[in-house]
Amino acid sequence: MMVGKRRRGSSSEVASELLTHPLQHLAEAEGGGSSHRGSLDCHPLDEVVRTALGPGRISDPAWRTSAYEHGRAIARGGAAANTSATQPLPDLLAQLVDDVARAPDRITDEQFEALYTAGYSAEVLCELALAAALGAGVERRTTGMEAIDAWESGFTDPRGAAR
Amino acid sequence: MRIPPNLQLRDPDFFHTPFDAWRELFRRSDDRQLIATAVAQANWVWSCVAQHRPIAVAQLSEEEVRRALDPDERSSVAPVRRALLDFAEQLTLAPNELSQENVRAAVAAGASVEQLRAVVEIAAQANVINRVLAARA
Repeated sequence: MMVGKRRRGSSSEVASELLTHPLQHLAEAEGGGSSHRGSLDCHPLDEVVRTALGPGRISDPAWRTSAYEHGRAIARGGAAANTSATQPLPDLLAQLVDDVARAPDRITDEQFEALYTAGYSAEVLCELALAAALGAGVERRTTGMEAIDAWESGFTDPRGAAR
Repeated sequence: MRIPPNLQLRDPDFFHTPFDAWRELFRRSDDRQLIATAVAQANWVWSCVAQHRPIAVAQLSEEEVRRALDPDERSSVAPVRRALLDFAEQLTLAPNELSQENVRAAVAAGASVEQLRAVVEIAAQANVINRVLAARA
């Protein structure tokens, strides 16, 4: 399947507005861009992530980046994403983000009642839930494409046998 | 009350427009609706199951969809379809355990690499949407 070319440089425009661009890890892992099929470069998902994490939203971009990174970390099998690179979320928000990332069926009405009572707006909660959901989706896409790439190249992955 | 369902419509550039561009690329992929149903079922997001399952039934049949989504009956489904569904569920439930061995098994069952790449995209999309909708009223 062909994926249309997206204009180059647009990611860097957003990167200048974020301390750590959420897709930086991909560029670094791929030496600044390659034909890796798991890359988001030139893929519409890049635009989805940039839009959701970039400027012009209501919530703190650092919170959104934390939620996104948490979604990715959980999908990787990690415990938490509140590392030095991300800003810790307040407890109630952290619980929502964790539930979105781990198991969406865990989300409850009572959880939202508590969040609204604490003063968080629906807009903020929506943006954070979306960021966490995107992290979960992006990581799954990356993992799936990497597994396919590895099989295609005959690379011996320690998690699985070479073909 | 969770997130109001029409909240994002105030700003179409926020999420919907770019996400729809991503989804459009794979709208015609084989078994997209069935795979999206399987992912939603694995995530226990029944609103998404209710959205995709009827379309999958219309494209296939009630019997075929029921067998594909029932773990006890999936063995009776065509090998390629079974492999694609298994791959999508593995990516949904235990992505950190997915390896090239899963790819090898799917290819051995007759799935093509392009089919698997499409499944990855569809499963990734469904995993995003399932989570967003679970947080909405």
